[in-house]
Amino acid sequence: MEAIPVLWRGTWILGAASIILLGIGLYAVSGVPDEETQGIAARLLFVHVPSVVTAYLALGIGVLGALGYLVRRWGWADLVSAAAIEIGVVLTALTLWTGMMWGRLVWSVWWDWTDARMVSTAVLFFLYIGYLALRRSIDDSHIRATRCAVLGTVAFVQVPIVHYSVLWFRTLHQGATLIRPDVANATMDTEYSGPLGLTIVAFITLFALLITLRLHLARTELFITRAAREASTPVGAAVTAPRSRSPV
Amino acid sequence: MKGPGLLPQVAWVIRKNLAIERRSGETFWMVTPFAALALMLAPLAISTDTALLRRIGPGMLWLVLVLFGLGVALRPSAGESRSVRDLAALCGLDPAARFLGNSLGAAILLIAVTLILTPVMIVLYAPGGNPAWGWLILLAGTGAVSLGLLGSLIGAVVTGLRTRTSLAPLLALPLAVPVLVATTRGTESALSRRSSISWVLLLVAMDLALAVVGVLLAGTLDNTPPTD
Repeated sequence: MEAIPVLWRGTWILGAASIILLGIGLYAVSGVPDEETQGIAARLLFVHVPSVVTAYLALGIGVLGALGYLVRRWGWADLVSAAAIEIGVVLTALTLWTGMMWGRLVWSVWWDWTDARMVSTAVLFFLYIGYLALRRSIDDSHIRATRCAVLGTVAFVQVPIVHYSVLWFRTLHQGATLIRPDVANATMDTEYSGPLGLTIVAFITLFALLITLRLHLARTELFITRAAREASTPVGAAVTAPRSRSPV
Repeated sequence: MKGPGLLPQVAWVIRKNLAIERRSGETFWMVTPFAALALMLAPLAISTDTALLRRIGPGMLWLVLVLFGLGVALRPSAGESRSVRDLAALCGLDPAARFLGNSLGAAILLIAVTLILTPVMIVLYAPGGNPAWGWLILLAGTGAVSLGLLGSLIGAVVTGLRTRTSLAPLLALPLAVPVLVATTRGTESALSRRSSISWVLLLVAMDLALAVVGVLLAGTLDNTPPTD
């Protein structure tokens, strides 16, 4: 029987790095002056943008894992895909929530239909909620991995739609500031972009920690499932003492 | 011995699905009247203001078509039992042919439903106009094919699952948003006698993309048997 999975040693380093980077990020953000027109609401940027960037990263890893399973049938790729998408869904929810809070403070409304990115992000969120629901609905690991890989691959099409919605549609949301075709013409002041970069790195480190922990949990789940299956298989009894299924 | 090619197999699946529909009459005697009733009741819930109804008419038509049409498109693949799939595999039916057959079979039914519901919408929501019928027919065709392909793809993902009736709409609806937007905007243009070419082209591009994805993944999905 295989050994109980142990937590990867690097997890502790990732945990410490996450705490330190989040602390430094928080310190850096506390020194940023209020924005001219938005006031204190602009500080939501330091949670909103890192969460959406990390959500893109998570969903990107999710689709790579899905393709890894579809093309090469790597079992670990399915686990990585599922773990990344789970965290991606939480980060997408955080993105939506901080965006809505910002909207309430600056536009006086929680929701605006003319904001194409807000609407497309909500669609993305529900699409991946469906992915998680599909995962919960299937017990067999092979069937679950295949069908979720298909859905994970198709669903990822929505990510570029969300990102480029601000360029493709007339929208209230501001244009792309960080990931844009003309990256040399960035429009953000350096006193904002420095702390923002720090918080993005902190969020990515936190994501690395969370995915490591989620994968450890997944491996432990697999171990328990296999151990339970082995324990319930009466190999010896079946070979040495065959019995009729019908009651005597 | 070499079996029939892809196209005859697709035609066989379409004929099979249309024969099932002819016997049950589910789409024409249940889904279509229900969808027409939904179109009729919506103004009672929203407003009977003529100007507002004219504005929301195309959106209501395609929202109803997406909601009801996805049900029609999901049915053949999501409802297939293990024995039916095993029999199809034993007969040498190509999974890609089954996917295309199910999609196009659903699309044919949905084109007919759309062509019935569009005049209903015009009478109830936008009377007195002179719409561009050519564009409306093209939108019905391309939109129905999109819904058929999407429904068959998601149907194959949820086939045999105990939770498929709740899960399938949750998975299919967010993916149907581009279809909803394109068909609604296209219908708005057609009602005011403007060209809907950009929306029709967008729908054709989506149809092609969905067909390629579905054909490529049909074999993979077919190798995972239903859990029933």
